[in-house]
Amino acid sequence: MKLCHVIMLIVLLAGSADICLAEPQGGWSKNRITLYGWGSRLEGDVSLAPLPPVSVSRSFSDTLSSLDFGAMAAYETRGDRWGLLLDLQTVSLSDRARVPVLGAIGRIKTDLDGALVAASYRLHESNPAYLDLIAGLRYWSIDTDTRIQLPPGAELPFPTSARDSRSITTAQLGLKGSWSFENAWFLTGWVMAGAGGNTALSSDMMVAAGYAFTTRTSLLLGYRRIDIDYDSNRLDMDLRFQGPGIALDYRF
Amino acid sequence: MNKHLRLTTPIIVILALAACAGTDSGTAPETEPPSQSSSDLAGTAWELVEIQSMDDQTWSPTDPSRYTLTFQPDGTASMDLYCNRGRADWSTAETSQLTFSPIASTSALCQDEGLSERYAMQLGFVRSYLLRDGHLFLATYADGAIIEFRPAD
Repeated sequence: MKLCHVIMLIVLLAGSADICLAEPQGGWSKNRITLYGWGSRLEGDVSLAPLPPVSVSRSFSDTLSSLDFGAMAAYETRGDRWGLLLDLQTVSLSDRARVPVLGAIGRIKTDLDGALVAASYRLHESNPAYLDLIAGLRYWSIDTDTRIQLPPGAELPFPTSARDSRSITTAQLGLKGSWSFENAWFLTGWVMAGAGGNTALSSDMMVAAGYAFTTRTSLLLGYRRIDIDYDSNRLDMDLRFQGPGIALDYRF
Repeated sequence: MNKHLRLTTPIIVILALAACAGTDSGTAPETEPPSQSSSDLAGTAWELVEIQSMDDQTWSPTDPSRYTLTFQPDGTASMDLYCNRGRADWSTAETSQLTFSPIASTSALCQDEGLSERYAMQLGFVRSYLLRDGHLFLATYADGAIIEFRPAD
């Protein structure tokens, strides 16, 4: 099922659920599902032996011209102060890269799949805002393909392409919150960071502005940035995945 | 008959009579419907006291200041829904009649045992209102529930 079909299904369910008027309940019956489309770009440095290091860097104004698209989904359930958060994302990015070899052109292709499972604890809740502490584990599957194209007649004493697949699990700790305005607009976001599994640091930041259409359905526009700094004996990468996103949020 | 039922039965009857009077336009002389700005609700702010359903169940907030309803003179209504905020348009087309447009509310998952969702849901069904002893009473469709407010501080 394509992403647009999933979004259409959620919209239909959102509308019908408002009509069904299920009885509100307490306990662990509060749930939220959020589906995102993510226009992401790749930045950073990759050193994948035996190739020389390559790097991707673009000015912010070039962001739109270099976006690839990914999908994300989040599920949250709460019971009083405690909650459970599941966050999934998949994105496939590729871009030209600089290579420190005269006349050579590089290209990086990275497939990133991630899953976060975290517990959340409500630190603060007031009429317009809440703030949650988040702690959990994030699993990354990163497939990196690096290629170097040489000028005609040139040769290198090593291959011109290399590929590597890694699975990484990191601990994550962070904050997640929201601020509501009187006109049904709200700001929401999170910041998380962690380490583990040869990862010096990975971080995840998201900020979004949302507008509520009903008591259950909201549309969000935001920006997300994921940083992964990974170092092992063959692969050394410091990558940033970032870009704007649009999301449909449904509470049930 | 418990205390809540004794208190709310006359209110339900009054609201029902008001609703009937408001819809009986066949014999009544034509009058200008009150505009939103001239309504006695415009510019007022309220805190939820309780929601009482037809089957005599009641829900009362421990902190009424977190469940509010404000009638703006421009025809919009804003509400605090525990950790969320909501908005809607309100109108009083006939005497004692009151309706809200579909309510839009932010969607944080609050720790209030579902009262904020119940409150927002019931507001969508409101059909009439009554001011009595300084309190505001809203009656929902078919008198399914009475929502009682006190003036906000």
